[in-house]
Amino acid sequence: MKSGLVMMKPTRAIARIRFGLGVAVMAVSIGVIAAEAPSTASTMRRLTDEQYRNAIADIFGEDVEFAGRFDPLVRPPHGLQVQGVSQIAVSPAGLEQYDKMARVIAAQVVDERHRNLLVGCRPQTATMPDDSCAEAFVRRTGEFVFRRPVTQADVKSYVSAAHASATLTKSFYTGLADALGAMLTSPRFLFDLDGTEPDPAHPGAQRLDAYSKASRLSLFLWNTTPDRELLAAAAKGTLHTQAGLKQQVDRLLQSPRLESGVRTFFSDMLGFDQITDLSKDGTIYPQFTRDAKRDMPEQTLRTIVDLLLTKNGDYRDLFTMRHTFLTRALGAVYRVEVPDQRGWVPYDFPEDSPRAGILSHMSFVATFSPPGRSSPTLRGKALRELVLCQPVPDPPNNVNFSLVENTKTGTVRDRLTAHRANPACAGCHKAMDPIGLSLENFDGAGTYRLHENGALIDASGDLEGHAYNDPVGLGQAVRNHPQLPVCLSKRLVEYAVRRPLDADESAWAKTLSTRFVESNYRLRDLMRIIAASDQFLKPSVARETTSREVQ
Amino acid sequence: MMRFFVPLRLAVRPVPVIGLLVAVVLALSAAGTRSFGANREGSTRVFLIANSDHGFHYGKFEEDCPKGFEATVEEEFVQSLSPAERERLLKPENAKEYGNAWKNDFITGPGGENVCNNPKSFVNDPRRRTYRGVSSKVAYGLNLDGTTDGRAAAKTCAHAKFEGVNGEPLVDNQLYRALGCSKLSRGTGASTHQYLDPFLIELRGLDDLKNNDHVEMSIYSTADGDLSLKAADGSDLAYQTFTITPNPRWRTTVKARIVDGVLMADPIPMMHLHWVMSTWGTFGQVSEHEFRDVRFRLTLGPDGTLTGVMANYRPLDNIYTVGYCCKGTASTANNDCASEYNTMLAMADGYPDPVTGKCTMISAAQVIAGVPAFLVPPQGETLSAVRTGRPGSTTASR
Repeated sequence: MKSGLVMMKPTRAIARIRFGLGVAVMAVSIGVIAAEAPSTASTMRRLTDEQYRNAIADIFGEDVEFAGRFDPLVRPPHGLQVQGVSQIAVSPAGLEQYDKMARVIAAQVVDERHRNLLVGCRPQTATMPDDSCAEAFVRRTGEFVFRRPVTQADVKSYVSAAHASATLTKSFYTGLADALGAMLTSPRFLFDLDGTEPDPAHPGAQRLDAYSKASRLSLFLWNTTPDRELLAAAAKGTLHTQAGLKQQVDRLLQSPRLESGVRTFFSDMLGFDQITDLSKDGTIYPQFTRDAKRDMPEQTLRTIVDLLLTKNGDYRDLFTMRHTFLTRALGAVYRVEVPDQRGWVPYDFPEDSPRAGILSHMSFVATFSPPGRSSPTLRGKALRELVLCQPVPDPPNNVNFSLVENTKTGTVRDRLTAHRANPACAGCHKAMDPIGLSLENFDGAGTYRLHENGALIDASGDLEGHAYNDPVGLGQAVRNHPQLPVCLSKRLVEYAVRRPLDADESAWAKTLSTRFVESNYRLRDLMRIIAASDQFLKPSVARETTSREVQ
Repeated sequence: MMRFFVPLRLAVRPVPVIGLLVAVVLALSAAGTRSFGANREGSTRVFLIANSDHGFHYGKFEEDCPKGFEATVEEEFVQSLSPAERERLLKPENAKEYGNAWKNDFITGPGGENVCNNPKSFVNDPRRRTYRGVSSKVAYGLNLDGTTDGRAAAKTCAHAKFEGVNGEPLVDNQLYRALGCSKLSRGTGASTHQYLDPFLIELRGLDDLKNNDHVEMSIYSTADGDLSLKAADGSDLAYQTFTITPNPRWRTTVKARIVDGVLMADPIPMMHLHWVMSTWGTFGQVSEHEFRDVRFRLTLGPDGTLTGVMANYRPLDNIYTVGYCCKGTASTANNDCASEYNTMLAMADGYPDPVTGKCTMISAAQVIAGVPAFLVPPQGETLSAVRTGRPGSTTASR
């Protein structure tokens, strides 16, 4: 009786064997961590989808294309979305996606268009295994995929996998693709693992090994995998010296790639992930077009990069600056001229304009508004939580919202005043509404308005004793708020460590704000302080994760 | 063996280069930053005219077209047959031959030309009958010939007058009279919202919106072709910015005045607007609309919009050049372009041919609606220079 395997068509049989082989190699690769990892893995953080894409582009080139869905990140309460990477829960569907993407990527790396550059060697014959060429590929590619040199066990297992697959398929390159696919589904690629080693300066204590430091620096500042120079510094051990660390941190901070890290950080801090699902009632806000929605976060990010990186400006000025960048679609929302029909143009709102600072950008006022109206409460809450790090509790379950949702008469200030008459609501609304009401000159899509239902909008307010009359005044009050640098410091530390802060780290973040102020609120300086600090580069202390748990 | 260091891509990945370029561009841009305030002049307003209809007034059908629709090309074909041939072809077993006869043979001229690309070739074809025309007394338009009875004059042929929809007592719109009962023109109702490509109207000197003798009006095609964004509700998106066409031929400036809130412009002897779909040419690849003796009657709305009528004479050839094309207009849309052309020729009321005395242009009107917009001059030009209009197009002041 023939076996089922034999009865299958040859191609299907090979596919099944290759799949089994891939899974086996994944298992082997995990086992390698236990057997030969140079140091003990203590914590794991999943690469974000952006880090994954950046890493693939850096290692193999931007012309290697793939598509797939990553498991969503869960934003912890009052925290950053990136902190969700420390919650290591990859669903079966997520694993399947990793596997599919790895196969697609690996197939392109070895295809005829890329193999000369990316494989780096040629087999004796393309129809048979070539362990020498496969080993060279595994060693060179593996260092960048795993963000540290491959071990002898790695080489052995991946070369064996390539050999077995090439034998079955009679194709060296197919075998190599299978081995690479296994590398790309390895936890050591998909997760940032903290490797530790004995700290010679503190006998009995552990420190991050140099490669883990390199990964941590690169993921923080560039949002991608370490480059060759950073890995070389890790190999030489210079990242363990003050001078060597400073040299690398300075290099990373001066690189244009810093922009990627800064963009990701501010997208997270300002809650831009919510824009994806944002919708508006087209009959109420016809100006909220698909193009405007696409461009609104980019406007703010361009403004941030321009001020904080290109001009090395004062962070606080983000809340008062007139300079920004616009597209034609955004110009229709802001009702200003944008001469370039298809691209971005720099733009200065006039001095008499009510629009100044990123709080007046569509990305803030439209994002934190319901589909058919504005919301001082949502805007005030967002400002408190995102920009000032002042958490506002969720509303009680039995709130009657009907009063504030009736937008037919009067202004929202009138409606919220009535709402605040309820003592159960007043506590929180006192913190949110006054600052949110100062943004009422911007409707739910972000277009300026002077009246609501024919009544003049009163945009005056008070932020912790700082009184103002309009949105520009609010921006000024936020700029001068003592909590502003404290919050940015805290958020940046959260972004750097990519997990909830422990008590020591929270205390450290507070002290950082003092140094941020002393640096005249320069973002790059704050990033430098964090990146070069012992606190940032210490092993995660939540608990030690054994290699068995990693599996 | 050829060996490369795999992660060379890390060294050569274009990101740093791109980043550097971006930084340089940003720096240069910052140096050249300006606040665009050209349209902030309080007495100047700009409108995007992206909504334009062909000016056919849809009254009660039985009053406008008491004898029904004009004949389609298929109906004309059937009527052209002898009774015996008609009976034969209409039998089900001859359906294929019947279809081929009217969808191919009947709409093809002796030289292989099709009736919609070359309606002139069918002028003397007895099977193409002139339309009856509309019976309505009311039409969109303005009094173009200045007469009260439409009698022939130096620049016009005799024709009947309509009552104006918008209060004008005696208006000319022979294009509507000719085609107002055609199925192709009327069958789908008032659905033509982009009869013309989006263009711009700039009004200057609007310090008094009620009565004003000193308004200056410019009409521009855009350099952006038909690139006009739609709003989330499908309407024309207000406050977009457009670049004025660099082609002076598609820019016109004229004096205007506001009387009791209604803006009237001086007649424009000749005006052209860009037509983006230039490959539709029937009598040549002309990529523009041509208008003669153009007049505007517009109203500024309290919501910032502009609505009204633009009236003019249209050269018949130009109408076909920009408005019709292809065999499908006859075989699929079932429209006999030759009958239409012959009808327009018969009803043409402007610009008689000096030799034949037959008019070569037909009075028409376009109903337009505009939303607020911004404009910028084309590269290398200033707004003040652009506003002077192309030589010869601007009429003398009143």
